[in-house]
Amino acid sequence: MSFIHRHKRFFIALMSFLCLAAIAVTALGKARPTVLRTALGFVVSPLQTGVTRAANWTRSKVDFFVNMSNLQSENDALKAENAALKDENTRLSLAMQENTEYAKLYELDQKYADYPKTGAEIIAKDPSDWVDAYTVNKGMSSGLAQNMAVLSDGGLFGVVTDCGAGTSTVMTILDDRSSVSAMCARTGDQGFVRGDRELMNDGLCQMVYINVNAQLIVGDEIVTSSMSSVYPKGITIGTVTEITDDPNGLTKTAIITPAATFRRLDKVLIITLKNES
Amino acid sequence: MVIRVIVMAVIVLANFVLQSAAFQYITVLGVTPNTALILVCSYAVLRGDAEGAILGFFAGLLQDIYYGPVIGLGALLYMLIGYVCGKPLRDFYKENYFFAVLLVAAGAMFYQFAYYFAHYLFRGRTDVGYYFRAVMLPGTIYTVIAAIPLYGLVYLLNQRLERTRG
Repeated sequence: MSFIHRHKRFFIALMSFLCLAAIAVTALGKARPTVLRTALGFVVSPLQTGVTRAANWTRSKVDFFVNMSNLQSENDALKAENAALKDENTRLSLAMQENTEYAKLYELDQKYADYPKTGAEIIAKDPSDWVDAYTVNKGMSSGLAQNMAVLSDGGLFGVVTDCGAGTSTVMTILDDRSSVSAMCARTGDQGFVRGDRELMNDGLCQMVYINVNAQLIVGDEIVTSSMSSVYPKGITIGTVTEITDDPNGLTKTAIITPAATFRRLDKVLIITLKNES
Repeated sequence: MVIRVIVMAVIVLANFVLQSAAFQYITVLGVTPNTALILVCSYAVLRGDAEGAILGFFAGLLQDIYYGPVIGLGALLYMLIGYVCGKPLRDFYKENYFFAVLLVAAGAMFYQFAYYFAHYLFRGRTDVGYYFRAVMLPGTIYTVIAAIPLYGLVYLLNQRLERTRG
C-alpha cells in the first residue's frame, strides 16, 4: 500500500493506459469478458432477483391498497367492456375465418407462432441514464445467444446484446443505439425503427428512412422486415402515431408507439433462433 | 486494512445490486441518482486520492463487465474521478458537507459529459444542448440531492472503520 502511495502518479498513468487498451480491444470486438461476466453474474444475479422481487411485491401490495376504493367503479366499467368485447369477439372470429382463408390464398408464412421461445425474468436494469438495457435471468446455459429477438406482451421488446452463462443483457428498441429493419404490415413500406433518447422517456421510438411516396398512415401496424438479418420477420413492433416529412424531401419519419411494455421489471419471451450478426 | 477492504468490497457490490435492481423505482424524468459515483467521491474525500482511485476503478469495472459492451471506460472514468476528488485531503474538508457535495456535482457532470462524448457524439448525436437539458443536468441535480444523506452515511462508516483500526 505504501508503495502505491509513493508512486501514485505512475500507477494512475499505468492503470489509465491499461483501461484505454481494454477499451480499444473490446470496442473493436476482439474480446468479450464472458468468463468475468459469468462469474459476476453468479454472485450478483441472485441478489438482484431477490431485490427486484421484493420491490415488485411491495409495489403490488401498495397498489392494491391504493386502488381498493376504485375497485367498484372499475368492476362496473369492466362488465360493460366485457359485454362489448363479447360482441366484438363474435365479429372477429368471423373475420378470423376469412383471414385464414386469405392467408392460405397468399401462402403467408405462419412461422411466427412456431418460433422456439423461452421465458425469462427481468432482474435488473443498466443504471445509466443514457441507455435502456435490462438484465434477464437466463443465459447461454438456457440456449440464449447474442442477437436473439426478445418479446413482451406480443410485441418486439429488444435484442440480446451480451450473454453470460446464467444472465443476459437485453437492449430495448427504445435504446438510442437500437436500429431495427422494419416495414408497414399493410403497405410493405420499408424503413428502420430506431430508438431515440428524446423519445425514450415517453416510451416511444421512431421509424426513419421511409420513402416520401410511401402510403403508410397513422394507425398502421409496423412489423420487423423480411430484410432484417437479425430479427425474424413479421414480429409486431407497434403502431404509427405521427408522420412528418423530412427536410430533404426524399424521406418521411414516423413516431411509433411500441406494442411491448417497458418501464416495468417483469417477464419477457426470447426467440431462441440463432441469428448471424 | 483487511477489514476495510472487505467492508468496502461488500458495499460496492451491494450498491451495484441496489442501483441496478431497486433504484428503477425512483426514476424521475428518465434519470436516476448515480450512487456509485456518490460512493466513489465521498470515499475519496474521506480517504484521499489513492484509495479513491482504487475504489473508483473497481466500482467502474463492475458496471463495465456486467453491462459492457466496452470494457474499461467506466473503470477509467470512476478511477480518475476518485483520484481527483481525493486530492484536497484535509481534515477540515471531511466535516464540510458542502465541499463534498460540490465535488460530487463536479464528478457527476464530468461523468455525464464523458459518457455522452463516448457513446453519443461518436454516433452523430450532436445536439449537446438537448442532452444537457434532458439528461446531464437533471441527472446531476438528482445525484447531488441523493449525495446529501449518502455522504453522511459514508462519513459515519469511515469513522467507524478508522476507530476499528485503532
